[in-house]
Amino acid sequence: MFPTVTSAEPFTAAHPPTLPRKLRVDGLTKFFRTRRAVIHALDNLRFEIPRGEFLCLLGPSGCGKSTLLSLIAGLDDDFDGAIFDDDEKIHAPSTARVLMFQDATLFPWLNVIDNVAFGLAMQGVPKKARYEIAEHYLKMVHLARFHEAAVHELSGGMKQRVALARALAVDPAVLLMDEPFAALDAQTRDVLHIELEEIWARTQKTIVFVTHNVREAVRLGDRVMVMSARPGRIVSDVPIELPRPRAMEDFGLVEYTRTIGEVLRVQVDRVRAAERGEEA
Amino acid sequence: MKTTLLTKITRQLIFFGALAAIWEILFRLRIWPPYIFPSPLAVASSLVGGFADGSYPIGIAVSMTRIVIGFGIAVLIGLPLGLLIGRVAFLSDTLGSVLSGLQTLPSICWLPLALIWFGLNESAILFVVVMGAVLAIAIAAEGGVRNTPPAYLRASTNLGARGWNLYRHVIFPAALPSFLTGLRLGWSFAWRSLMAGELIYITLGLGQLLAMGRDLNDLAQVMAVMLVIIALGLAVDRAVFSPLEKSVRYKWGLETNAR
Repeated sequence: MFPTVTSAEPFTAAHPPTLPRKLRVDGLTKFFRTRRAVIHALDNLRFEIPRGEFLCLLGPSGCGKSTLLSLIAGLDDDFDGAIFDDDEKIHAPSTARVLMFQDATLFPWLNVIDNVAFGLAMQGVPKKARYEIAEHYLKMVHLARFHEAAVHELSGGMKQRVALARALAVDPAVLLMDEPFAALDAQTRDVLHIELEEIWARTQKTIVFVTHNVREAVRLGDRVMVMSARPGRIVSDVPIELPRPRAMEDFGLVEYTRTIGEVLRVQVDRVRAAERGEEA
Repeated sequence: MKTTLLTKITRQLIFFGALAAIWEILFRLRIWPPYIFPSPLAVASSLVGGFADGSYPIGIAVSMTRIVIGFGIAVLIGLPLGLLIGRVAFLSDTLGSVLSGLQTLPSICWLPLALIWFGLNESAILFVVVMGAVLAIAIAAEGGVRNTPPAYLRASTNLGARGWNLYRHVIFPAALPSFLTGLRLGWSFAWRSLMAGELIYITLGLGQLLAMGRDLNDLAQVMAVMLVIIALGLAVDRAVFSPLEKSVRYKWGLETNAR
């Protein structure tokens, strides 16, 4: 069941929405081999993400959250176990699963509209058609007025909005977001939370959202997963049963934040203890 | 503290005025005879005379024509060469090391070889100019293609860019700041080799005017031509390459404040 967030205008995608799919992570294990050491990044992860779910991933720094996202995106196929997008094994990047980063990574040689239309251009969509689609998504992130702007003229929040529109323009079933709002100020972040929630409700994407911020995770997620210190395992998997739209100050949200925060703190302390141990 | 353009100009006027004054004082002290140490006025009148009798404008026109043609050829060869070497591992292992080896050779050292291959003519000097610029351009282009920021590669492959599209729409544009640095460097190398070449062998051009000043023991002319060469070099760098490079680096997020 989808939470009900009603939006003023009905969903009118320029192309029909593809059915979001189920993601299945099955016994995923990942090692990084460097010249000096072998790092055990992820250990036998096993979980499912139903279609249209907003999943938030929490964990101490270096626990492999970002690694997990790139593996789901298909940007790295060197791992054990399997990840399935529906029943299809993931082994290469695809526009069905688009990754967004803390740094918007917009292309500075293109203006805003061409950035948003980039993925469509790569698919060979003719200029007129791809601009129409790009305009549609720019409108969705409230940046229609800025379609001719250069990237360096945008603020941090605007850049992330453009990055979101660029990701949405290729109509992925899954959005993978790696701390996309971590570099923004609190006010901008609040606004983007609202917008992302609306867009998620309108487009029914599956979203996997990595963050360090427990409250942000509870604010946005249908479900919050906490990962352990390296090697990354799932130590907690909590459905967030709060009505939407939510606000950061909601009492229930604060309660969830406290409970999940305690789980996370244990893992963060483990990392700190390990660091102290190495120094001694 | 911020300085306005006016205060900057005033400072420079005072500085260069003082420099000329010291020069004039040294001249009047007669420490050296005038044919070794000419007065600023003699240099200035040489400068005016050179422009008036048409010898400097012709020299400038000839030198600029040579460098524009030579530099143009260097760009046409250097850019594709650098891109290929940056892209094909085999070429990078073989040709790449040859390029960095040749880069250590001052390009005027090509002149004897060029004179035997082409004779004492325009082709010889163009060859030297091209050799001066082409390596710097190729090496910069190679570096630019090889060092695409990984974030751009991840984002663009994720959005479906593959093969030639990846090069055309991501790797090449991302390398533009490096290309421009290479062009700027190549231009200054080309300019130096051209002056050296003209000074030694080739007729007409600014280098030739320098050599003529020496032959006539006219140090005022030598200094005047040196000033022209400095002014031209500065003008091209300040008017063309520097602003281009700065604005691209700023837009690409590599520099925080544009000037």
